[in-house]
Amino acid sequence: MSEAAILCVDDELVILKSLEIELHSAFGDNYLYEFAESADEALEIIDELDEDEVQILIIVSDWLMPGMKGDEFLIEVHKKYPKIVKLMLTGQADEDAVERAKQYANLYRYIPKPWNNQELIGIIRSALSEL
Amino acid sequence: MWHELKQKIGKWRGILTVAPSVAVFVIAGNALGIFQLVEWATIDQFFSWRPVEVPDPRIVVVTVDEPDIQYIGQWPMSDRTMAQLLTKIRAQQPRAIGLDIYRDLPVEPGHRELIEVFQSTPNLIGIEKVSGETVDGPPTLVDREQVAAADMVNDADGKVRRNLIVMQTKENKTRESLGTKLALMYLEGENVDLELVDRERQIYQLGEATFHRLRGKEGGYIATGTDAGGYQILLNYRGQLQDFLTISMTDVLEDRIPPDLMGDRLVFIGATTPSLKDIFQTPYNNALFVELNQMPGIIVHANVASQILSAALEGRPLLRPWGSLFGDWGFLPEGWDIVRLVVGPNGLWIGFWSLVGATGGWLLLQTRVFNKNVFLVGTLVVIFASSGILIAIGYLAFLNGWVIPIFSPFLALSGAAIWIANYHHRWQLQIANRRLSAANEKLEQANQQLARANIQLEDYSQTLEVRVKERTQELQNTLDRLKATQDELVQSEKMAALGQLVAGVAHEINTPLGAINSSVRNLSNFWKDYLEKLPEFFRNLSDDRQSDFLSLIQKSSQQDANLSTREQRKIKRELTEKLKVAQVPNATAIANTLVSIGVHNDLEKLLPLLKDVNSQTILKTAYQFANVQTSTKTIVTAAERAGKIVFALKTYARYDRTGQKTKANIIEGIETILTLYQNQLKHGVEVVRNFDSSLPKISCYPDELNQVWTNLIHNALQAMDNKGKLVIDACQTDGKIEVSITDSGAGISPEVLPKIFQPFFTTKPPGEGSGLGLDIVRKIIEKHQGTIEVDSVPGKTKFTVSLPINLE
Repeated sequence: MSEAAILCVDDELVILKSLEIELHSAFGDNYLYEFAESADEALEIIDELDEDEVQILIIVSDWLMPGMKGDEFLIEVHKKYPKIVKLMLTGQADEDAVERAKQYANLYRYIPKPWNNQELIGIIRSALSEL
Repeated sequence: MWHELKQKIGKWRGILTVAPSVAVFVIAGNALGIFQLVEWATIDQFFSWRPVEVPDPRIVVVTVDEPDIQYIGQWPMSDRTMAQLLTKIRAQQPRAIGLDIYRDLPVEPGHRELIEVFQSTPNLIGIEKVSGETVDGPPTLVDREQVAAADMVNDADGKVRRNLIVMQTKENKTRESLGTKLALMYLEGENVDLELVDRERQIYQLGEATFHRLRGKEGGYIATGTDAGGYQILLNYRGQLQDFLTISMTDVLEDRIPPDLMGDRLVFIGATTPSLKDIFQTPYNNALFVELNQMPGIIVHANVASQILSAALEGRPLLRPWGSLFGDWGFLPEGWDIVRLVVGPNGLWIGFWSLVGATGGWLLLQTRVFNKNVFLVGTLVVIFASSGILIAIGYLAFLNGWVIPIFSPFLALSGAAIWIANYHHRWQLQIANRRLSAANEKLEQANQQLARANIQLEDYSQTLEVRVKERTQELQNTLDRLKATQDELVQSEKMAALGQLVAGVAHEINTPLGAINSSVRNLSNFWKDYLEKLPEFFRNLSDDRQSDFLSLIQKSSQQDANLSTREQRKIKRELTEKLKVAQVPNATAIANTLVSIGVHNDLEKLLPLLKDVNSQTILKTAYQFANVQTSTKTIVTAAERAGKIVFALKTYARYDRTGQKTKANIIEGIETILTLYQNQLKHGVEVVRNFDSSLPKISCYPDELNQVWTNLIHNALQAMDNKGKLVIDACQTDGKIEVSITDSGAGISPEVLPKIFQPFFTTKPPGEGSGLGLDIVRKIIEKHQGTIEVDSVPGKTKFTVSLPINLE
C-alpha cells in the first residue's frame, strides 16, 4: 500500500472519470487516487487522508465550481498543507484568480481545458520528481 | 411751472375770454342806452311789487272828475266857480294850495272875483308850462311870483319817472315844479330850509334828504332831456290816485268838506278825468295796456311833493341811480364818460355778473350731470339762479332808494353763460376731435403695424413650411437615433446577460471538450497497450474465468455512471470490508478496481474470480475494458452537452432585426435558458418545471421572449444566491399563456418593488447592472400585448408573464 495520494477536484464527473483513467494508466497503483466534486468535499477528503496518514502529493483542481472557487480552495489548502503541489485544470478562470492562486497558494501550474494528456501527466511527473 | 400755469390758464381761458368780452359789449350797450327800455320796465316792475304805503297825511287832492264837470255844467269852469272853490278851500286854512288848472285867460263870468281871490291868497300857487309849447300862468299870480311849472319829463317810452325840481324859463327865470314849490312851502312852515351842500355836484340838503342831481348818464338810467330840464331827480312814487287823500270838487263846492281835512295841509286841485287829457303814463302802467290806469297830472305833482316831504321829514329814501356812487369823476375830460361807465359801479356790476355767468356756467358744465347732453339745461340753471339773485339784489336796492341796472347784468350773465356753454361745447368738441385724431393716429399706427405684421406673417408662413419640414426631419432623425440607441441598449443588455454567462459557457464548453479529448487519448492508449495482449490473455484464462470475465464486462456496461464521488468512496469502503471478510487479498486495491469498473454487487459470484491466482490480471484487463466503455460514454455525453450549449447560445444570441413574428414554443425557449444556466443551477438550485405539455405555439418574437426568460431566471438565481428552489409554471388560461417564475429568495422590499420596472433602476453595485433589464422585459412584454406582474414576500418572489396566444 503506497502512502501517497493524488487528489482531483472538479464538479464534472466526466472530467474526474477521464482523469482517473489517465492517472491509472500513467502511474498504475503507485498512488492513491481521490476525487471530489467540490472544494468542500475535497477538504473533507484531505482531512480524512491526513488522519489515515496518507500523504497528499498533488491536488489538481478546477476553478469554476459551485460554492468555493478553485483559487480560494487552493489557498485554503495551502495554509494547512504548503507542501502539496497545486495544479489548476480549468475551462475558464479569470486572470486575477490565477494570480491570486500563484501568489497565495504557490500554484505549480495552470492548465487550461481541454488539456493534453501527455502534457498533464508530464507536469505531474515532473512535480512528483521534485518532491 | 410755466407749463403748469399755462395749463391752468388754458383751463380758465374760456372764462377769461368770455366774461370780459360779454362785459364789454353789455357795458357799451348799457352806456349807449340800448337796454334802457328794459331797464325801465324792470324798475317799473319793482314799483308794482313794492307794498302800498299809507296815504301821505300832509297832502289832500281835490279832484275834478267827470261828475264834477257835469255838476258845474261847463268846462273850463268859470272863473267864478274857481273863485268859489278856492275860497272854500282857503277857509280850511291849508298850508298851501296848488291849482293845477291852466288859467292864463279869463273865463267869464266871475273873473274879477277870481283875481280878488288870487290877490288875497298868498299861499295859492298857479301853474304855467315852461318848456316846449309854453302856457303862461294866471297873470295875477305870475306877477306875485305864485306860479310853478306844470311840466313833466317823459322818458322815451312815454312814462314819467322823473321829478323836475326846478327849471329855467325862456326868460331865464327859475321855476320850481308845482309839487316842489308846494313841498318847499310846507317845509318852510316846518322851518326846514334848502341848503346847498356841493355847488359843483349840485347836491342839496333838505331836512333829512340829500338831493343829487340826475345827470342822465348814470348807466342805470339814461334819459334824454335832462340837461334842458334843469335839476331833476328820479321820482319815487308813493302811490296812485287811490293812495292819496282826495275830495271831489263837487263836495267842496257843496260844503261837504270834513272840517279838518285841509287844515295845515297841502291841497292840490286838478283834473282827474281822462277826458281832460291831463293824464300821464307812469311805472304803474302795464306796458301792454298803456291806456288803462294812467295817472292824472295832479297825482304826479302830489307824488313829487310827497316824495320831497317824506324824504326831508321822515328820511324816506329818494330814488337814485348808483352810477355816480364813486363820485362824478369831474376830472374826466369831455367825451371820456366811457371810462366811468366801464370802471364805475355799472361797469363792475355788469363785469361781475358776466363773470358769474361764465364761471357758473363753466363750473356747472364741468360736473358730470350737465357736461354733455343737458348743457342747455345747465346753462339755463345758471341763468335762472343767477338772475333770481340779481333781481333780488336789484329789488332790495330799489327799496333802499338805489336804482341799479338789472337787465344789463342779466344780459351779461345770460350771454356769458350761453357763450361759455357754446365755448364749452366747442372745447369738448375740440378735445373730442383731438382725441379722435389721436385715436386716428393710433389707428393709423396700428394699421401700419398690422400691415407689417401681415408681411411678417406671410414671410413666416412661407418659411414655416420649410421649418416644419426641417423640424420634422430633425425629429425623425432623433427618433431614428433613439430607436437605434434603444436597440443598442436592448442588445447591450442582452449581451450583458450573455457576458455574465460567458464565464460559465466557456467552462461549459471547455469541460466536455477536455473530457472528450482525455477519453479519446485513453481509448487510443487502450488499443495501443492492450490489443496485442488480448489473445494471450484469453488463452491463459480457464473457461470459468472467461465466463466470469465476460459477465464482469457486461455488468460494467450496465453500471450506474452517475454515482457521486462520495457514494463511490462509501461503496469502496464497504466493498473493502466485505472483501476482507471474504479473505480476499489486496482487498482495497480490488475494491477500488471493482468500483471503477462499476461492479460492486453480487460479491458472492465474483469471489471465485477474485480468489483466482490471476485475479489481478483479470481485473485489470476488465478495468481497461470498462474504461473503454466509460470513455465512449463520456465522449457521447460530453459531445451532447457541448452541442446543447452551442445550440442554446446560437438561439440566445440571435438578434432578429427583421422584427418578424413567428410561431414558437414557449417551453422550448425556457428550456434553452435553463440549459445556459445549467452550470449555475446544477448545485444548490432545485428546478421545478410545472409545464403544461399541451401548450400551443404562440406567435411571438422568440428571441425577445428568450431575453425575458433570461432576465427573470437570472434575477431569480441572484435573488436566492444560487441556492434554493426555482419553480417555473407554464399554463394556458383564457386565450393566454401564463408563465410564472418563482424563486425562494429573500424577496423584494416594498420600497423597491414599485421601482423595479423603471429604467436604470438597479440594486446592483455600479458597473454590474445596467438597470435596464426589467425595463426591457416590460417593453418586450408590452410589445407582445402581454402583462407582467410581480408579487413578493420573503421566501417567495413570483414574476408572472401573461402572453396572448394569438398576437395580432
